[in-house]
Amino acid sequence: MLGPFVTAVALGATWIEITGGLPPHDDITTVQPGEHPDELWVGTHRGLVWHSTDNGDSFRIAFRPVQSEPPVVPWLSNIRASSLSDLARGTDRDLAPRDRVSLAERAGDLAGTVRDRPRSRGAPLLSSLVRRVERDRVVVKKVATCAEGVMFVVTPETVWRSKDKGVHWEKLLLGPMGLALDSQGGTPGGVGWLTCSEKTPGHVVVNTASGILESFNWGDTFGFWKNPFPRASLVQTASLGGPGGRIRIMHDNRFYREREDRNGYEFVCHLIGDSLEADDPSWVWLVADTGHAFAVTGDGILLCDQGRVRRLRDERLSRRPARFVWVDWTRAGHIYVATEHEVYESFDNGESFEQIFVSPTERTIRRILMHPDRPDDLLVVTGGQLWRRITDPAAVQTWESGAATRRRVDGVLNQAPLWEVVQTSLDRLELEPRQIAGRRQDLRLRALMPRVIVRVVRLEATTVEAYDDMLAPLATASGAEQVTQLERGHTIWSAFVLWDLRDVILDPLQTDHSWVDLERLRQRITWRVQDAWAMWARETVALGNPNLNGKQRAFHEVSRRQAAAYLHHMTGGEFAAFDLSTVHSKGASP
Amino acid sequence: MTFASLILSFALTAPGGDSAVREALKLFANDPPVTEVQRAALEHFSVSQDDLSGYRTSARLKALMPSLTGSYTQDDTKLNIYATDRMIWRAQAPFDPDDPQTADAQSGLGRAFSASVTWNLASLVFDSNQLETYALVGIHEDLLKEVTRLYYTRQHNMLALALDPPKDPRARAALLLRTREIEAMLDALTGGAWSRLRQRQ
Repeated sequence: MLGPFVTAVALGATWIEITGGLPPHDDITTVQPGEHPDELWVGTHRGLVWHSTDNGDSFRIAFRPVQSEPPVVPWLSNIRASSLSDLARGTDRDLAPRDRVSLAERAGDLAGTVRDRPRSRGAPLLSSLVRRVERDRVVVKKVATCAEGVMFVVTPETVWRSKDKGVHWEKLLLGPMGLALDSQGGTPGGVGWLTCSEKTPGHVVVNTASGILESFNWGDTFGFWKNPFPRASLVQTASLGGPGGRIRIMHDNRFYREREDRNGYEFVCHLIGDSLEADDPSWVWLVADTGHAFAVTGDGILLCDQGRVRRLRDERLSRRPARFVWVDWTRAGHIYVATEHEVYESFDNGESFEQIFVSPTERTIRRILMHPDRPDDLLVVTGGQLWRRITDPAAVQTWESGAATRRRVDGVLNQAPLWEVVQTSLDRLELEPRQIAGRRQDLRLRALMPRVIVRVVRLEATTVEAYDDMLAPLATASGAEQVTQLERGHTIWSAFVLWDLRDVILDPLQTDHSWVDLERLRQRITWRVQDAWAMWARETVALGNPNLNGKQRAFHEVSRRQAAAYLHHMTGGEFAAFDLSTVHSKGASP
Repeated sequence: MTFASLILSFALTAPGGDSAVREALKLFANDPPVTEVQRAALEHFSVSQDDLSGYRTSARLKALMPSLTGSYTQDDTKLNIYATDRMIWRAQAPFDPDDPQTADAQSGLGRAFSASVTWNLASLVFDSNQLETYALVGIHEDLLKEVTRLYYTRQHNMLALALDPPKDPRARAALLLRTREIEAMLDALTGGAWSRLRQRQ
């Protein structure tokens, strides 16, 4: 644990919310990098588009829905912000398949901003789409961003292409070797998916009902892909990246990739066990430059390794759906994985992960972006907030020897050992595992306790009987009318002791779903306490750096206090051995 | 930007100083302590630690109280019996069932009172309500985390405004608005205690 922790500390990683003028109530639906490294475009749910040229320090509004001239947003021109989110998802080359949602409902938004221009070969895509939108519901299945400014938009019927970063569009003219056109200009049977290469210019693969087509000139001409095996299927990859942009295929549960010399295919791994379904259409494969292959499925991330597929070792990721997987093409082994609420970073191709971000609210992570020149500069979009990881250049420098750093870190960690903090927090909330186990034990014993019922019943009866003998004059005995009144009353006391012996075998509460909820609550609070502790430790160690200026120190100090305040309450006051208002002095001994 | 904050900003950009940091943190001199704000929020929503303990204790002790049942039943009966005694009617007289010799009229009133008291001693050991109180533990933690986050996000914003304000006036105004928004949220979460505590400081 110490290794990655020190790395994170050394990087001085912390997170700051980018506000920079963005309206706080708006949902951020997309963040799109611009042409320049520090340029950002942000779209919100109200259709506003904001533009920053200083990496998010400040924003200016670039587009309002009432404007007649939409901005020319690089890569995504003439598109309203509420559509940016959906189209941007398609451009994300590492997008997890579960996030590819139907865009049918967005068709109306697309129509809202289109300007009706004369149709021509270079007509804007949307003016053509609008007519289709109005007539029937158009679904944009994917937007692929390729090298050299080429983009593709895939609809169920056909494929549109732009060669100038989305300013002008044309429907692919699909020749006799390629997709056959129907009377309305579409492809009979439809288009499945499209993948292009970012490293091999011109290389595009399209999966259609007519067959799998391959082009080496950005779709000017297509040929049928030569299937090396009788029943092999082309694996859908997020991109044809990697060395040489090689094709990958699946045959008999075996994953193959094209040889580097493009002369045949080589075996990579075998999908066996663990209820893996190789032909699951939701799988998307990613391949790093190192050759490591990842399959992003709806049930977690699999790693193709040494001839077989296995789940990631980190239990936090092995069976959880991933929202984003970002493979760093600039640094071997560097991967980011984002789940719904956390972001993880790995430097060893997924062998180990460090949790670097936890969404501070219940809003889920929409997107992560890495700066093209600074791979540690990460942006995370959560609902209506934009977060940037700050790397502190001063802290990256070695300001202490390795041994001194270790002593300092150990000193901080020993002030409040993590396990003690977690245990104290859980104990206070009665969520400690032994406390929960005690509850379950009580549950087993309670069946031995009876139900006691004490009952009293009081009965009263009054009976009046009148007897009349009509023959009385003939009777010698007095047959006059007789009236009898009888009154009775009695009280019954009873006591019952009841045992339901079936509950001794299994009490219904033992299988109640509340125990699962309890366990989830315990896990959640454990993670949150751990995250807060890591934040506190990180900030405390960072404050020991004498090279920080006052502004940086103030920032770290406030962050340290935030984590300490949370832990102070969670531990019932046991955490903070110091006044929260005291500034942590860089001269203080660990 | 005022002259004082210019000086402060300059001081803070230079390497160093605990004293400069203390100076910067004086921005928060009028802020109530975070512990009080946390307590106010939790009490406002009745999910403080004391509340949770109280709910658990109540769940356990309620088993000492019995459940009472009472009932009352009333039963009215009337019975008329007309009988013919063949032994005593006069000889030679025909038997006439319409002419009974005896009539017996009975009327009765019955009342039944019952009361029962039931103790479920199993609940003294464990009651299902104890499980349900854990739902409030989750709310307690969520609320604590949110209030703490808002409290310190506001401080971050104030530091940014004082020490490194955005150059764009609109961005600067937006940051100020965001700070006001956070203060309003703190007031909402604490039932107005945030403003009261600030005035008291």
